[in-house]
Amino acid sequence: MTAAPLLSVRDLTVSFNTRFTAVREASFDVHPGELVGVVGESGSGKSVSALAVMGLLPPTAKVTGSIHFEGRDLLTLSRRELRKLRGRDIGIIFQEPMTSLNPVFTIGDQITEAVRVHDPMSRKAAWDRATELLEKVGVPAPRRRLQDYPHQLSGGLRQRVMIAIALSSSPKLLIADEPTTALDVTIQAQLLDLLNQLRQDFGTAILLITHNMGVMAEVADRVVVMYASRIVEEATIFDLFDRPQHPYTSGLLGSTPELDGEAHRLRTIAGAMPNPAELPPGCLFAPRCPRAIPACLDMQPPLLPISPAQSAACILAPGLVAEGAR
Amino acid sequence: MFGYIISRLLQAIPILILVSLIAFGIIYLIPGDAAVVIGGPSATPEELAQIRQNLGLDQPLHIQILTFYAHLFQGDLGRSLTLGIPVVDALLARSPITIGIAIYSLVLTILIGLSTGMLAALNHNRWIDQAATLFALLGVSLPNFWLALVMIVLFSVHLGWLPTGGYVPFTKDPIGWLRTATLPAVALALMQAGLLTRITRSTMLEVLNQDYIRTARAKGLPEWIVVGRHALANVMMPIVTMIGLVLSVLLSGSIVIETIFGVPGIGSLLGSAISNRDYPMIQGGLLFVTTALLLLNIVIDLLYTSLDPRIRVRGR
Repeated sequence: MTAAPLLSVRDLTVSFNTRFTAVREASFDVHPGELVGVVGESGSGKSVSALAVMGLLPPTAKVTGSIHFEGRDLLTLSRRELRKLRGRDIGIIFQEPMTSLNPVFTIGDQITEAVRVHDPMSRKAAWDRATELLEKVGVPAPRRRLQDYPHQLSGGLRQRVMIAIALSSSPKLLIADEPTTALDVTIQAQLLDLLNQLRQDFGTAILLITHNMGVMAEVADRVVVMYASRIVEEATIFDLFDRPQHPYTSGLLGSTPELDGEAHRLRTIAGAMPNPAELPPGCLFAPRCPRAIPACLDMQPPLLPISPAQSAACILAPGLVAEGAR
Repeated sequence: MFGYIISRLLQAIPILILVSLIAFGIIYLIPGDAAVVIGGPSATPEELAQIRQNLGLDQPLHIQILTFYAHLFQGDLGRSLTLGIPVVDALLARSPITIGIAIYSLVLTILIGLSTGMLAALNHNRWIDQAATLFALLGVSLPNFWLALVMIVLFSVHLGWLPTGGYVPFTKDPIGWLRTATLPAVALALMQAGLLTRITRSTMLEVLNQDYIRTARAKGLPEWIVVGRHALANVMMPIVTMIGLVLSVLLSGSIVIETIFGVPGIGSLLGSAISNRDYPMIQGGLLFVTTALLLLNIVIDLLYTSLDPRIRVRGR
């Protein structure tokens, strides 16, 4: 992890209108070949961060900070330069496989289009490449599938097609925005295996966005935890599960259902995420935090390193280790 | 696909029967005695009897219906009272003129409506959008006969660019045709274009928010392909459906517009038939226009299935 990061996001802030800020001062890195997970509840700013990296936010979004990809700040690139980067160097898979493919074009059209836009080649060659891609992502009878329209495919197959499109130009970074949420559990597992496989085979770095801690535990190297537009903790997957530093992370881990052990009522984090238009003073998590002290209401603690591989945004953080061990 | 065509044609039969009954019934909708209305107040009893005999009104009703259908199936729609020639001949002679202008007008409608609507959607909430919306509103609300008159005053009388009326067949002189057909075609197109602008704009705005558009952008496709290929292909479906409607309004609008510009098409033929109470002509025109529209709408439905794979595959 000493090499220069592939993707380096610093102080990313995304706001819509003036009232609503979706992401605040988010900073994180993704190194080549690494799988970084972003977890958080719906509305915590995960997807908006991903779309910001792709430059796919609507024009109404105001983005500040910096997003360096291979040393170039994506936020300063022209639309044209950014477009050339999209799909070629950074691929993305979305949450909704049912609606992410154009209903009026065949699968083959949609894959070959992605292939040819960055690497001009004959239709025939692109078609062969598409067959190869479908085979790689585990679509049976790929030649025949290329002739199909999206509505003829199941959700799992469509998501595989989306992965094939994202991989069409062998990107260095693949952003997967809740790729398994809309799919059933067995398909989820298959797709996660596939992502892992692709990472090993091609050294693709992956930014995996999910709200599922179980998914994280299975595949991530490092995890970024987001809560109400802020990053509250960042750690390796082992540190995160063994020594969570932020009470929100502990809460998330506590509310993951377990199959083994005694059956008990699923624990939850009391309360709900604050309304983005009326944020509480001080730490955004304080109103729901079981360990909150009066000082928490005074200021939003910055994300500070606790150890070389772990940081948290909680004034109690360094003390939590001792408390948790007791 | 073949089965679908057959079933659509079969569905058209009841409509055609209904339309032909209405056409037959027109003669009975005339207040008072049809023969008196046709013959005028100065007609002698002998003349009235002659008119009744010509129209078959002296026969019992069931004989009249049977005669009507017997003639209809032989392609005989009777004889025009004012022109003195068979109705079918008059319709066939005039229809190419109207069809030519209708196609010209439809092309203009689609060009103006699609481009204005797309431009508005792509510049959502900016001044271009507002200008396009205003244009659409004016197009929809201004009566086309008024537009036609304003255009004659402006382009023919003041600027002298185009003739005030008349008609030159395309086969004789294409330039002359263009000069005479342009004003009527534009007058007909503007109203439809307003309607099409509004529909294109709202459909486009909806389509641009779809996930597959985001996917297309994420692939790194240039914006003109995202809009011109991925979005447009989905916008076309509701628009093709609307073209059937546009055609029917074009044909009914042609009655007024052809009369204003003195274009000797079906529209002015029917217009004068109505004011001259030329009932066989009105009957024939009604049948002719309805049948044409019915067939055109079937063609449009077939076109629609070829645009949307979801419908196409279900029919397979």
